Amino acid sequence: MKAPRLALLLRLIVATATIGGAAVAFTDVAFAQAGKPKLTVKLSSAKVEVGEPFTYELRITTEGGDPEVTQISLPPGISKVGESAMQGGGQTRQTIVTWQLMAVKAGRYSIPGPPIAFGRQRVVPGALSLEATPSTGRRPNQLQLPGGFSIRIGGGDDDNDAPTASEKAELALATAPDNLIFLRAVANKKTAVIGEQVTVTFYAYFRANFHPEESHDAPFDAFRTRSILEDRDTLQGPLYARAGQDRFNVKVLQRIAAFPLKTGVLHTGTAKMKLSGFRMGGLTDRESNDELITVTEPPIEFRPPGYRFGDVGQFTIEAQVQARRIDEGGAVPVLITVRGSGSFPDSVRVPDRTGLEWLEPEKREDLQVHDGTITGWRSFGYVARVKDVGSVDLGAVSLSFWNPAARRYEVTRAELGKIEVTRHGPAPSSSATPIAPVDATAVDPFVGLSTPRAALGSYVAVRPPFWGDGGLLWALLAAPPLLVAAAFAGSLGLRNARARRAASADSKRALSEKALAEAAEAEARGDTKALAAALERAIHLAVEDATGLKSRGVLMADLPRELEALDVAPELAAAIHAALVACESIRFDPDGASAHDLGEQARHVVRELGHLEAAAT
Amino acid sequence: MSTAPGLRSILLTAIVAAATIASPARADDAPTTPEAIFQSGAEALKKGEHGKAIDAFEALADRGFYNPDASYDRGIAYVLRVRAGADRAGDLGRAAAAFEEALLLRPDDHEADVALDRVRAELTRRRARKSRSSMDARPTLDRLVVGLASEQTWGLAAFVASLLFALGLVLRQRPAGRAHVAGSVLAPTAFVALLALIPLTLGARHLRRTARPGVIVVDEVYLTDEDGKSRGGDPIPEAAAVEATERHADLVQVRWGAISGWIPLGSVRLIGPDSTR
Repeated sequence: MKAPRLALLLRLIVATATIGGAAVAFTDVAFAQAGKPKLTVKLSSAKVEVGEPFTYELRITTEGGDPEVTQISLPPGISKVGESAMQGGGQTRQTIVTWQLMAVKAGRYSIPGPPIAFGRQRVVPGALSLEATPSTGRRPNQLQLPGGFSIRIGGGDDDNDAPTASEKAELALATAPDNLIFLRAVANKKTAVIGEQVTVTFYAYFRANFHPEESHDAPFDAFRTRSILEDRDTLQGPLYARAGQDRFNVKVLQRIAAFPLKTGVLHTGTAKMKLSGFRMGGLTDRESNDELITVTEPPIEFRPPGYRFGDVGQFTIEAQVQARRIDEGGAVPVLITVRGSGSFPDSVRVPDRTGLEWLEPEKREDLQVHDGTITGWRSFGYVARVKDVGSVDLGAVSLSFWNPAARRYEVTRAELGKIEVTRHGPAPSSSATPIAPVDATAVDPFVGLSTPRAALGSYVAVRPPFWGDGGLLWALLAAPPLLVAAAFAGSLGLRNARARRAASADSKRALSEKALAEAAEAEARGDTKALAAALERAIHLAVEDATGLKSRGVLMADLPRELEALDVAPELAAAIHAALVACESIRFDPDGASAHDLGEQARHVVRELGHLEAAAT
Repeated sequence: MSTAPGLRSILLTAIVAAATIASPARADDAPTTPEAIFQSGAEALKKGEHGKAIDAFEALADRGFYNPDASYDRGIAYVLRVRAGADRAGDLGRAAAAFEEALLLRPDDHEADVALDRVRAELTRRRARKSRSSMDARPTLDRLVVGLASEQTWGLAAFVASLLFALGLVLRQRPAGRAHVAGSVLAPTAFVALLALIPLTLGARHLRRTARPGVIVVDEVYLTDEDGKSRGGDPIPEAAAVEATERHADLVQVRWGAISGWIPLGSVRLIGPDSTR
């Protein structure tokens, strides 16, 4: 039977490409011959179960034209579920044809490649082997697409299905930033110390097939990074998650072990991608969120001497001195190996001391990703040049690190032990003449420097002034002049008060009040004459105080008129006149009138005059 | 029966390897109190173990423990490393910083003064060997005057001037006689002194609150602007004393003599307790 030609110009824009190289392991067969179409064929899996869909992908790269692909010829036991094709490019064209297949019977199969015609050339890819095992019920209706994406076959749209066991609750989002596809970055922790691993995973949430045209990883500017995408935990099957009301396919694009290099609120940056797809129109940009990690120093409390920022993890140190006996002036190789997991140190503390020179180490390492962490060993091949002779103690190498799991510092140490350095030639005699340095620059500029101090001496710590940073300084500086000024002001005020008081005591009003008091005393004594004299005096003083009129020098008959001329009410002027007349009368006829009534009359007049004076004031 | 030499060698290697493979020691094994850390550093210095000594004294500084003797020994440890020929870039600058710190904490420490002079002289000699000119920055007059005394000294002097001014005012109130004359002289004189001492006190306070002494610990460093763009001009040489003020990201603003600008934080070692907090 002649296979019908497949109409490749259908241009079914169904993305079947990989994203970021994050595909599952494929069986690859590649053909690359100059002048001929370049072919790549692969199966999504070399071992499937009966009923489990898989794909056969054919990629053809041609120059200056599109190839023609005939239908794939399948062996009995393998059935075709569907097919798709995509073409693109300019002068260099690429054609991707994907057949969705399924084994219906267990067994080993050889799937021949479909013949390809390009101009006058005819090329046939090699056959691919497939093993189909009996079904266990695993993924019966999931079709794995190239790039790790999958679609369901034999079922409808399940966007609004109830949550299923395959959905990852931890990947669910309350709302979806986009209803078709979006990128998301998730850090496994928001706080860390310098050097502590933060794992950041970048996911693609999608509900439509897409093709990544261009992608840029997040910059992680303030981090040292390593991809741990190849870790077994990362390479898992298809994921699903709810975002808002919709169910999305979720694909792990990248997983980064990031080690902060400094303190502060550090940005991971955003991963960016240009996409194309059937439901997305032209090129579409997508960008992940920017994760913020708060990075601090490990605690200063109990920090061991020699700890270096960034040494975080769990380590042990081993050391091997590869020679125990050397000649004078010789060197001894020392291999120091750090094993463990975490942010491996770039160097270890070797016992630096006078007479021992450590040359730059040669580093080797074998670091793997295990359970999401960097695990393995790093070795430092030192050469120690020994300047002393005899039995020389090399000391110990040590590594201080912060163990984030135990949240404490730990120190791993390895003793290097002693080596024997044998002298060549006679020992220098103590009586020998010292050899003068050939080069004047060889003179030690620090000769005679005082010896180190063996104990902590006392000293007076410089403290901030006792007035601190507040306003006490200003108060101190301003206080003396202000106190003096206050004293001056007080003194002046006191003097003025006294003067006012003295002046007040001599006023007409005061004298009038005093006269009234004397009148009251006279009334109490029954001394009518004295009473009359006091009341008369009180009235005259009150008149003078209120009007300025010296009424004693005015004829009694003229007094009302004079008072009225000074704006005193006629009634009050008459009352004043009457009171004075009464006083005069009682002086000559003490029994003629009631002393009490006279007193009341005079007091009333004085009171009214007081009101008059107050109103004038 | 004698063991074969090859077998003996293998056994020896195995024993040595077993002996040198260590189990991790807990940090609890390390000295924790400042005094114990200082002792471990001093003992290491005595043995010539400058690496361990530097670790110990730097750990003290990291913990904010300040003592002129610890600072002095830290400087000696760096000098020891230089003398051993194992010096690293900036060691002399760090030694100078340590001696400067010792002098800051104990101004009459003669040994630290001498050691600082030696370190600076050696650096000058090294610069001359590289045909680099020796650069010296003189403080501006205001810094010179303000730096003559501490804030407390200036403040107390201003307080005394204030008292004398007040006394002069009181005496001047006397109607006549010597007291009045004394007051007439004392009051204006003290007032002028007060006007001079208040700015000095405020200047010293401003320095205390905003500036922290530091020492350059790299070969030389060029000043930049706040964004890290080079401003040109002469570089600041290693061991130069600067005043660090503001910090912005990984840059710190410094004043060196009459010039100021930004340099990388790692190129300067701030010394002494931080009084700017």
